[in-house]
Amino acid sequence: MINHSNAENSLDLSNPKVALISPNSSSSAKGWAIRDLVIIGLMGALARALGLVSVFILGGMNPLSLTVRVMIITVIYIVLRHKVRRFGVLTLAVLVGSLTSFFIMAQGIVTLPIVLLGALMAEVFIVYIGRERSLAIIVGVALMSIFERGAALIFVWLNFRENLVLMVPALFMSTPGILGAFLGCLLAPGLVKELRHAAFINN
Amino acid sequence: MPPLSITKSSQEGSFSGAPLKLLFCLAGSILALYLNTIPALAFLAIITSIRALRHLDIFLLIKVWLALLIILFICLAGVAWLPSPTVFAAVRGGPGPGVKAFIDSLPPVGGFLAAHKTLFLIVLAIMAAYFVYLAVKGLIKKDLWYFVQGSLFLIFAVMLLATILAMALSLSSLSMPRGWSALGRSLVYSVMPALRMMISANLALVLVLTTPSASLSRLLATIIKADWLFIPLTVVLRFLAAFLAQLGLVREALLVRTRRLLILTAICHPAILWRGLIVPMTFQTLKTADQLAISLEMKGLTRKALFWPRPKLFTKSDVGAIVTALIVLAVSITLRSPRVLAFLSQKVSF
Repeated sequence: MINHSNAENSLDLSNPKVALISPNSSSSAKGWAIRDLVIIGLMGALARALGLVSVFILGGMNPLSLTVRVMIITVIYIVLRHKVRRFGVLTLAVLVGSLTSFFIMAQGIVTLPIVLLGALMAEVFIVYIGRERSLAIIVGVALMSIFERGAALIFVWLNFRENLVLMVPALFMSTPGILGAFLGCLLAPGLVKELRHAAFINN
Repeated sequence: MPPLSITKSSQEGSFSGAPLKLLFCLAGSILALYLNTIPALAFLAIITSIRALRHLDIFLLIKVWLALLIILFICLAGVAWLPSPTVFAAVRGGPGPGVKAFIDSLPPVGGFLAAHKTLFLIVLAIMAAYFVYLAVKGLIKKDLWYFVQGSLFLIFAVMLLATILAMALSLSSLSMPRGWSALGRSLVYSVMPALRMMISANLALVLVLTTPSASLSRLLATIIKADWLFIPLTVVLRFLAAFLAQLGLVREALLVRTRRLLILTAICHPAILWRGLIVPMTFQTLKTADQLAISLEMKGLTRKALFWPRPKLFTKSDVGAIVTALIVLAVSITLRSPRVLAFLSQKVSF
């Protein structure tokens, strides 16, 4: 057993009570590997950062910025699913994204159950119906994005069901999201091909 | 929205406890959900856009907000009570319906104070005296740079424009416009979600840009026991600020090539956004992910060995802040009740 004294800045390994670990136990057959968790976290951070910057570049909250933001998130999810070929990646990524939104913006927690359900359905489609093929991944992520928009509309309907005319702005704000998901599905295969060529994604 | 300073390095202010900052951001977002009038939301959005908030110096914030409140109250008092026959003829003898509606749309404590002149003047005098005390002690001079950095003028210019726009849209007052169709009313009220999201985004920037990754990691380590959830969340919060800084470098590289990342450029040349921003960042992220994962595995870190023992979540000051926040929230909700306001108006008469 080897005692590791250097660590990431968020660890307090100077404490003598830190458990000793074996250098060979980098991942286990069951459960998530560190590499997969790190990739999910980093791609989630990238999606957040790119979404934030694109909204700032495109002049705040408008249909174009909403479309581009959803497009970026769709592309990131498709690349992530190609990178980490495992059941539950999208579900975990969606959960991490919603919790991040909740921690830093107090949003996204109400629609979390429906969004998780959509991600789970997408995973089932990708793994068991599509057999992890590239087209199945793209279709699965597209279905998940559409499910998320539907979940948001359901939440709006719950708030405005007495006066459905007030849902019109919500519909206007959801349409760019669906368009963005569609654009993301069109652009993602090209990026995946480039990443595969650069050996960042393995077949 | 204020420009995003993604090339500046994050700084930690004196108000640096991660649980307290998280509570502050959550309280601000919840307050934004609670407010339901355009002027109040606009005022809160502008308050959270102050550049000084990014440095999260609580004493600086108190001073800036205090000065803003003083100036706002002086403006309200001037509009409401200045006996000018030409300009303020409509509000002679008291606040007019438009101004009164504006005052009523402020937080209930401010509205209550503005409806009672003597109490209003006493509170104003106390705030002014504290501001003068800070000035005499020399505690404002050093921060004057932040104050005059455009924040004050920008705040009041935007607030004034927002108020004028809201009043114009409502035609006569700041209440629901009469004679408008439901669609027209919904278009007016669709401004509110945008303002709420602006408030949340500003508060998110405060937390992300001023919190060291170690503080957030310690906070998450105490809340979340599942490592399969804790690791990605920690990575997201740790690298979000780093990615924003990298995007700043990409932006500068594009500027060198005389490509300004503006909305017109993005519309006319969308390939710049794709090839110049998204694709390089994706490559960079995957490279970073592989390197980070390899470094963690080389150090022998596994799920079972991470973050042991768990640190304490709340200290005494955090508990005190939470209790104070809950008390303020309860008082503000209680004061919003018409019955309570009527009762207080009967009991406290000047």
